[in-house]
Amino acid sequence: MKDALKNVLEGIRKNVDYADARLVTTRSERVMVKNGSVDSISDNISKGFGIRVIVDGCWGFSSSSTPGEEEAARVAQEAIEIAKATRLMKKWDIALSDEEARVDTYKTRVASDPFSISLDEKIKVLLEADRIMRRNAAIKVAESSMQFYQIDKIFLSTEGADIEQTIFESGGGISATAVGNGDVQKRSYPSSWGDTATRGYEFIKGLNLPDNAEKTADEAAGLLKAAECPTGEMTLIIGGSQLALQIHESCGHPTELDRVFGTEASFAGTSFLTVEKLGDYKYGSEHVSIFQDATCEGGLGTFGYDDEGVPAQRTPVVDRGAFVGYLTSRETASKLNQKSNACMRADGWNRIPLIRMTNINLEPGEWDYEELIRDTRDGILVDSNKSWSIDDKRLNFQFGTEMAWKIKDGKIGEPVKNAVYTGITPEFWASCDAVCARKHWHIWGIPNCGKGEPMQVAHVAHGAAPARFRKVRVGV
Amino acid sequence: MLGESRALETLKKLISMVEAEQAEAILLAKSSGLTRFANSTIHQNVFERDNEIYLRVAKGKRIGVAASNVTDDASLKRLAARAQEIAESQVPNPDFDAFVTSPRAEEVAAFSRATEECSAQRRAENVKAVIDEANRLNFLAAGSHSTSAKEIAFANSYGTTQYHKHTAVFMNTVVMAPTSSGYADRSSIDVSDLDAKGLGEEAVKVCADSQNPKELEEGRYDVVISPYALDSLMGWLGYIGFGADTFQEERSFMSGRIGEQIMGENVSIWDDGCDPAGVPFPFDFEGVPKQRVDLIKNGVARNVVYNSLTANKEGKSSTGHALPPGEEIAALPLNVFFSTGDSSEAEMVESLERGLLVKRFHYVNGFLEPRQALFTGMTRDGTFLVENGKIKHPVKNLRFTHSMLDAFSKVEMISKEAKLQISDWFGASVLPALKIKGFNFSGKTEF
Repeated sequence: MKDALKNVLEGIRKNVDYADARLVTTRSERVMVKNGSVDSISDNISKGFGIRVIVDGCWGFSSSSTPGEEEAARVAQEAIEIAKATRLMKKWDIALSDEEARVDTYKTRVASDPFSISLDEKIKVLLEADRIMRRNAAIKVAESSMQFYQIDKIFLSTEGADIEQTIFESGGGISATAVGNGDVQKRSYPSSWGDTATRGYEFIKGLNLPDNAEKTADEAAGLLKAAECPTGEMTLIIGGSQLALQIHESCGHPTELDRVFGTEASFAGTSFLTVEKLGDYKYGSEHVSIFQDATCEGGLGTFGYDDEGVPAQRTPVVDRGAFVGYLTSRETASKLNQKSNACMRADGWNRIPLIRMTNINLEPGEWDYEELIRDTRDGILVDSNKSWSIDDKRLNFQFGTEMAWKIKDGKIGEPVKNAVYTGITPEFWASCDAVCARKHWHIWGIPNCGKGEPMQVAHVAHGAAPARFRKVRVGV
Repeated sequence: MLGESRALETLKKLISMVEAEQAEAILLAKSSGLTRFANSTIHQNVFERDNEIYLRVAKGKRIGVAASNVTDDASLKRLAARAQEIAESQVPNPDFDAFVTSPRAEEVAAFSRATEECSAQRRAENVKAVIDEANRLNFLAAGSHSTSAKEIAFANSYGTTQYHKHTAVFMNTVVMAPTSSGYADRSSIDVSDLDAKGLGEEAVKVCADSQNPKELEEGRYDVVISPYALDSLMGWLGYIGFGADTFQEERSFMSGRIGEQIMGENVSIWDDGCDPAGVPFPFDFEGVPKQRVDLIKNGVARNVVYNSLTANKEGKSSTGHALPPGEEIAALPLNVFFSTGDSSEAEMVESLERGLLVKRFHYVNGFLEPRQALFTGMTRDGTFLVENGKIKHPVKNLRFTHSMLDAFSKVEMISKEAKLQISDWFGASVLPALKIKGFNFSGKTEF
């Protein structure tokens, strides 16, 4: 099929300003265990190709799951006709930033191919975690799951790019839901979405799901008896997995340059980080430095090349509090006279690439975690996301967390429940006065980032260590 | 389109490749075009064509699921073999008896040839009609316009077969000025019914009226919410509470409350997959014909929706609300209707002594406290302070945090008109505007 697509691109070269083709096969396997039984095992294969063209300065795209050169030629012609229809409401010609056409291959390094591990082995691990969680009588629902992806993709372009990639992903997690006295409380491990990485089955083994089942269940049950989280303006220490989502919503999305230019306006919204702020805006305190980094080993947003054939990169987004960079594509970068920093990814063969987060990482600071707690006289420690909401320019946010503890006189005290905190993005990041050191830093995989129409789900990640924020509003 | 006979032949061939005693297969065929625009120009124009097949096989009480979009004979054989391998690895499910034998679902018309054949050119012309309206006031328009044709075929080894085809048209726009925005959308089965100009006019008016918003303090306000705003609440309400999973697991606001008054007497919510006022889809992903289910009747919690497994747990029959195999949730209402009243939206606004008119909510989240249906979210695309029945001025966006059980217990007026809100997956909702007393706004933003 690759040769067929090459032939078709060659055939349409004279009729287009630019064209690329992606041939993608995605295999996914998901195993879910709930309350002692295997709720579902599914194995899905999706295979097809998409052809993207620029004709007379306008985009067109079509796709099909039917193989063969004849179908590819038809789809290419359909993409051209769609691009011609786009001309009716054209304001400017699409321009792409320069990019070397690369011929290369990339494959995720895995120690253990997750699809070579038997279902029996995976089910055994999940049932064991499930059994341990349900030993606690307060647990009404115990859930454990694993999911694996193998994505094989070929990228070809009329510029001469020819890139083959194979990306593996492995993820898993557990959760326990306690019910009693008209209350429902949930705890998850390692985070609300488990954890996922571009690694093999060795990553699942490292999660040690059964070893963490008892603590997870006990914490959920304990929350039924916990007091409500205090409310008011207070010091907040945010654990790594919750901070990952904070980065995601309040830094990742607003720095997507397509969103800044308005192309998500009718769906997810726009961004407060408008282009005149680039290089001249205080996003956070001097403790806040954030990079987009698609090159870090094992991150869920790690790859060799993006879906425009641009090599993975590490570029600054926030440098010691100053807003210095966007996540870009070839089209959007050209508008700022920049080159793309390789953030274009598509959710399968039938979707066009959009600007997506890679690994958007908060750089570690220097604090030891224990020392940070000791240094905090009065506050709240929160972790594990429960709810999330942010306005359509990414300013006002509200997050609820599964877990919270009081901090009093430098010690972690009693757990409290239903913690909610809220703020305005730049004020919040400006209140950060401490970030923990690299030994507390972890890249959290988030496998469910939604964007675009038709909806595309991206697999992204955020490196974070616990951090402290002052004068945060806690409670509704 | 594959057509009924070709779709069912493919499924029967696949089932014949299965050695296990029971099998059921679903084919979802889709062709879909979508045009997106922003800054008053088209920036994305796409088309996709795909056929997905789901196969479930049962060996005793062990169920295996596999899916693929590769449909040649060799691939179908591999799919059958994989589903059986998975079943062999499974643990017996005590709630499973057998795949369901069902009568043929009654046919409902939900297909338009004009929509199936809608070209990118026609979508572009509809986009132009919206942008032309925005241009009149030098506003910028963004939005999307999709036209799709879908087929779903079902067969199982007990001879149950189902087939349904439908089309869907959706168009929305956010029209933007420097300090404001306005939203509108339209849904239909037939693209010929789409009034793109009217859509543009509606959004342009809200955008014009909501310029230069003033800051308003958070607090409790009586509100009138549009059907757009209600739609984003109802999706979450269904997700956290109207399906059998969360109900049986005591996580739902319905759990243990069947027969109790949990909302106001003027509130009834039901699911009806065969009502032509929605987008009918007469059977579910287990081939079971959809029943009309009263979820809330005059404020009283009445029922949730079931698939076959969750129904078995309670000794009931499926209500025909199964989702595709492999989904985390077993059953959901996908065709939701909300009771209507006798007011117009304008009359509701006139009845406000001091309150807010909310055109739209954004980024609603219902996970805060599901037993109380405590939701949060932002207003968006037009929020107005109303005093003595008249709009006084637009206000900057606010965050709400409020229990929907409380909100729907304080519905004072309901519009007589209900609006079709089509889903981008399957189904649709038909929803009115509401006037609600004492809605809690817990925060504010800068625009």
